[in-house]
Amino acid sequence: MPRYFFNIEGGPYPAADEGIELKGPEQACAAAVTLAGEMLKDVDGQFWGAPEWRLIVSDDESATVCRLHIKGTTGET
Amino acid sequence: MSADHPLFLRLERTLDLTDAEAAAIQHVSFQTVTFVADQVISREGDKPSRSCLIADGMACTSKVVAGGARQIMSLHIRGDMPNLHSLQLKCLDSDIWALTNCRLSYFPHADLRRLCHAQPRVADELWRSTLVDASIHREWMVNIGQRQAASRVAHLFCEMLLRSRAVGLAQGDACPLPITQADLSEVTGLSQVHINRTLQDLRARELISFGQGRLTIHDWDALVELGDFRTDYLHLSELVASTAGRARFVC
Repeated sequence: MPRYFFNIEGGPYPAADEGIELKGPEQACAAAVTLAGEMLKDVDGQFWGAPEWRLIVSDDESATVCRLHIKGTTGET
Repeated sequence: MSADHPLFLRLERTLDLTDAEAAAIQHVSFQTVTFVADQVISREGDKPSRSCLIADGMACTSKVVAGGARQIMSLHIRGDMPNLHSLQLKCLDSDIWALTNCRLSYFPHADLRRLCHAQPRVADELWRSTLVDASIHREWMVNIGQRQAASRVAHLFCEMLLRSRAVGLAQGDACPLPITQADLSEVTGLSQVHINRTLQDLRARELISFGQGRLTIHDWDALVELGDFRTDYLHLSELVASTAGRARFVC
């Protein structure tokens, strides 16, 4: 199975990822959403005012499979 | 009298057996059955006429939900009796799987019942062991429901080391933990990718090593702190609890 890397910028884990084997890009994209959801649950409301998180999934040829940008603003902005 | 009867070995670990109790245990017949990794041991809906004790290997109790996902509710190691409750509850409500190659000793319910009726201290001890299983279930519910990812995994690792130590499987702060990251995902309710990242995080903090079927804890006190772990729910012997450092809880 191909290896995918879930690099996280600004989030709760170090940016560089050792990678994990998954069936293919669809599974990697689905796993990215689940990972982001689980990480957001753990920050327990401390998210506001933090810089944007970027979760960038790449394959073992360093090609980007998908990107998630997680940012929230309060009020009208 | 045979001192290597598997039920004798299990009970003498937690009970100072009298000669009469030891003799009564010898009348419980047993059969040893081996399973290979990923083989089902019993299924939800089964109505077993015997209960088993793990002589070697690791097994789990699990359930599969409608969407096909599996939740592991218990990890069973040497000395555990994963379906002892079937002595009283006729129909199994979950599956039991071998996670590794396993050797199980099976005891007929009729023999166990006879033993319990004749030797009340043995009955109490078997009852107690199912209550400890329930206590561990309660703690796992708290773990999955309320703790963050790193804390959840840290808590599980602390538990597995102490449980392994209680049955002589640990060497210092290391013990067998022959489960995959996929299994860990099903134990903790975290996605595999999140488990993978969490393990990297714990390694980077130099708290643990985990791989090739083995767990080593490098900084027990820090892992205890991270995992919000204390020993009370395991109801360990004083001897094992005394090794738990900051996690020790006296009640």
